[in-house]
Amino acid sequence: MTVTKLRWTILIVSFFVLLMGGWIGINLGGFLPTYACPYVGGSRGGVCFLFRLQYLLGNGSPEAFIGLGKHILYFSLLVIIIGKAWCGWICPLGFFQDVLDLIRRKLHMGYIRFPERLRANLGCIKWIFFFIALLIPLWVAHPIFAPAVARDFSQPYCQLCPGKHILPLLLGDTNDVTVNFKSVTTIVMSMLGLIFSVSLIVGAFLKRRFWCSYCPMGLLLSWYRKISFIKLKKDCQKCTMCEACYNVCPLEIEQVFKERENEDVTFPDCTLCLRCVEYCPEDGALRATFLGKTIYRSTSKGFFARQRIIPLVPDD
Amino acid sequence: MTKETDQLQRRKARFVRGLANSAETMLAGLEENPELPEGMHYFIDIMRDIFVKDQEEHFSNPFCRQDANNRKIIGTYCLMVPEELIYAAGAIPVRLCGGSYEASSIGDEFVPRDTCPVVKASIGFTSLNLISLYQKCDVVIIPTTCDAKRKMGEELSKFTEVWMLEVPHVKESEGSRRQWLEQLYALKKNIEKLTGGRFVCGKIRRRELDSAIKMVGRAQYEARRLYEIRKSFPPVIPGREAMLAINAYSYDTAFEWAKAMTGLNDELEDRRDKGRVVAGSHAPRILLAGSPSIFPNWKIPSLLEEMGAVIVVDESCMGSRYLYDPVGITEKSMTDMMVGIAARYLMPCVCPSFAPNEDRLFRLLQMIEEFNVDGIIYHVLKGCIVYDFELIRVEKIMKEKNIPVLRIETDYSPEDIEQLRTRIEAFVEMLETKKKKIKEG
Amino acid sequence: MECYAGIDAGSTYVKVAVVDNCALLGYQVAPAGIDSRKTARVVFNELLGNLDLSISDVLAITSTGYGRRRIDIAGETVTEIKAHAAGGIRTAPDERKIGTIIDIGGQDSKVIVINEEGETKNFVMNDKCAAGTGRFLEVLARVLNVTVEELGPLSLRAESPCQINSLCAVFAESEVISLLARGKELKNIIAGIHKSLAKRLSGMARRAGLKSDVLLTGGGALNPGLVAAIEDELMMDIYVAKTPQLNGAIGAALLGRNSNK
Repeated sequence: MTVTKLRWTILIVSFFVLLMGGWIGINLGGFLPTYACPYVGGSRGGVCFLFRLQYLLGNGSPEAFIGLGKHILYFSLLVIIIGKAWCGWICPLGFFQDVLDLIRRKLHMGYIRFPERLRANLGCIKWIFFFIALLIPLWVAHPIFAPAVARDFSQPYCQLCPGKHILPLLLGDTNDVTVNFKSVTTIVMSMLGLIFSVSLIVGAFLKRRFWCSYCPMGLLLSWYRKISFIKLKKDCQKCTMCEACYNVCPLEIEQVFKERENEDVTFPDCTLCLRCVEYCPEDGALRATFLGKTIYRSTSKGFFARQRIIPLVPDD
Repeated sequence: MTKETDQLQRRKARFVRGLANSAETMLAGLEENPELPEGMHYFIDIMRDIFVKDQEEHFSNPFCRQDANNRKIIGTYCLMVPEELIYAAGAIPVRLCGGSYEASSIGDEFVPRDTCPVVKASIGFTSLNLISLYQKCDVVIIPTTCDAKRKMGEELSKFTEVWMLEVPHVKESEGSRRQWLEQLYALKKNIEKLTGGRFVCGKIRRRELDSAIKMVGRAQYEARRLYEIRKSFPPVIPGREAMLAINAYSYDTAFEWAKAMTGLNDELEDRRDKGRVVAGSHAPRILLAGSPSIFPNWKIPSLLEEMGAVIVVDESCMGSRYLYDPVGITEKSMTDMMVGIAARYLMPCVCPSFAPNEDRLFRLLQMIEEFNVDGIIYHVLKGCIVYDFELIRVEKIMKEKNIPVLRIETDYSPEDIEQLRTRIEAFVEMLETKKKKIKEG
Repeated sequence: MECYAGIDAGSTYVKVAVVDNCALLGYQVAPAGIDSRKTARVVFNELLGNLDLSISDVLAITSTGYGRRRIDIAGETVTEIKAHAAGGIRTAPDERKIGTIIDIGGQDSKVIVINEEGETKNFVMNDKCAAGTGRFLEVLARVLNVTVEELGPLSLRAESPCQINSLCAVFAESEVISLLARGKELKNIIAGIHKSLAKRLSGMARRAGLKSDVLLTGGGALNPGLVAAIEDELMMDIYVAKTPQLNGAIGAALLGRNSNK
């Protein structure tokens, strides 16, 4: 089984578990470092950490803060174990984007690549989302100004999150795909949410893993990359700088092939999808490690097999 | 026939004879080896057909939609011209970088004295049509790599149609990579115009481009297999044979070449398993670095191996680097294929005309390790400033690794062979002593 | 009696040396002539005669130098580099620890950096032409109408050496002629020639990675003016081998002895 196939399998399984696991009684808790969206209703198999974070911060009670501490602890443990593989291998919204990408590929349409400068400028979006998720709930809990507006700001990031609109929709639930006319705040927030959702669908169709560059959850996860068990490593001497890893990278991370000194190339945006390892033509130039032990390494043969130049070896 | 043209004809005939002679001497020398692998004959024959008999039967293109009379041959220089595009359009790519002493002495008339012999020979070949191959090219594509190659484009345009392909010299920046991609899109359009005219039959289509990438990829896979085989200790193939086989790719179709290479590789792997080696473990293992040795200029490789050393690896653009880096694509869209092609022909290339070119040092270090190299012969063709420039860096890192480096500056002329022989022999002797000492502890 | 012979078939002279297990027994030098093979044989037999040795006493004959392949009486051949390196540690005066050997031969000159065991660590040879070689001196001596032997003593008397800029023997020749025409003194011109040669050699020595002590060998070492010029250029003491011309032959003989053991 190739890594790509394994990843697709896990993505599909976790999509069903996270979105429909509730039907068979699965509940993985409220601290999942992935878009396990509570808005899908009873069928959900767990709850997204960001939702719980905003909820507990917005609650403001001392108990909520203790609960929050516990959630952060569990969340951290989960992230330390597999790092950002949550994004590349589990996230349902990531899966949805991958499906759109697959359709594009089958249609033999090319993808869009943003210029470096634009990418750098857009990099602040995830920080904006993060501060929305962090600061607005605090304001909601302690409305020192404009309390009337604050009232309508519960789960502010969730209102903007494309997951809230798209994931329920995938289960046939159209309730969230509307503008909420309750107040001006809700109108603005739900409109923005819809806009983001549409741009995700269009974007992911044109650009690989479009949303992942702006996802605040990804930002949170990237902070753990130095202590996480899974790492992407590179043997700089073996690298020929052929750029293959950059061209296959859904997040378009350049630094992996440009790195010339450090072994650790788990960069903040990296979702550990390991496509770069699969498509690296040099033996052992790139590898994924778990607690320092190599679990997957690039091979020249593997490269040529994936290019359909030589037959694929079954054990690869 | 006027007196002048008659004179020209006689002059040309003399050069042609000289070329055929020197090429045949080299080839016969290779064939004298009683241990010559069966699979090598194919490659020797290609060289003989091109340089001695002056005929090319090897040109075919499985994607060619034109009739045989209308097929286009596109000459290329350096290794930045994407063959995949040429194949996909149904044309035939031929690499023209010249290695003949006779041709370079003709070229002397056209270029400044200090120009490198590769450029001299290429101009010599084109100007006097020493071999018909150069005449048959409908167009030649010249990437702007080093100064000499760039100006050569101008000079060659007196004799043939020339397309310049602008290669950025700082490859890391996003702008230059984007510009390179644009260049390739433009080249694609030009090739389509050449092969198809107003008709659609010359268009480079997705499917053909994909197959062309696979076809060249197949050749690269085999070239890499040879590369792996050359790592074996003790060596199973002399460097000059391996280098000739790679060099023959210039004049052959990727498809045919890959087939022949598969045979050679199978044979060599079999020999390796049976322990049939071409030199003992005491023979110094040499990395031939620097300017390319292009057939029939087999001066340095022959001298080195006559002195008892084995060239286990070379890093020149006519040798190991020629077919090393493959095109990596993940989807069949035109965008992705073009991006993949653009990346392959620019990024991993460690031609010293790029700056910064630190990658080359990494590549050399890697070779030293992988191939168990004892010493480096740093070949500098006279006038090849860029390679000479990097010698300082190479010497520095090799000193740290305790690998001796010998710089050999020469051109294609045979006159300095005796001097070189002493120098190379002394170097080989030095390596042998060092090796013996290590072995004895 | 066990002894070993080394034949250095150089471009100008054929040098034969015979050593036993501890010392140099004897040597002979003769102009190479056209047929160095014949010359070598004649010289070798003469030397054996002088030393009262028979051919069966000689356990190994090793040849070196440009004509080494043509010497049919030799069993093994080694390059000049290796021979000079091996000879250098023995011919050094006062048992000095030699780090670098500068050899000024007739046709080429070389700088060899060696380790304590007399093994080559690095070497640089002059390029194709005669610049920096004994031939350079020969050509210019002819122009000045003096013998090569006279060059050294004459130049030592120089007060203000002339400037000779060309490294090329042919260009230097015309430069010397114009200096003569300008009425410069012979000794100053010769000193200038030595300086020019020394500059070239010290450039090579630096390229090779000069290590002290420096030993000068080859015919050029017999010229005290050149030795002084090189000392000035390198700004260090250099030592002249005991029998500089024979260094290669002795080295070859010693290598023959080592491989025979």
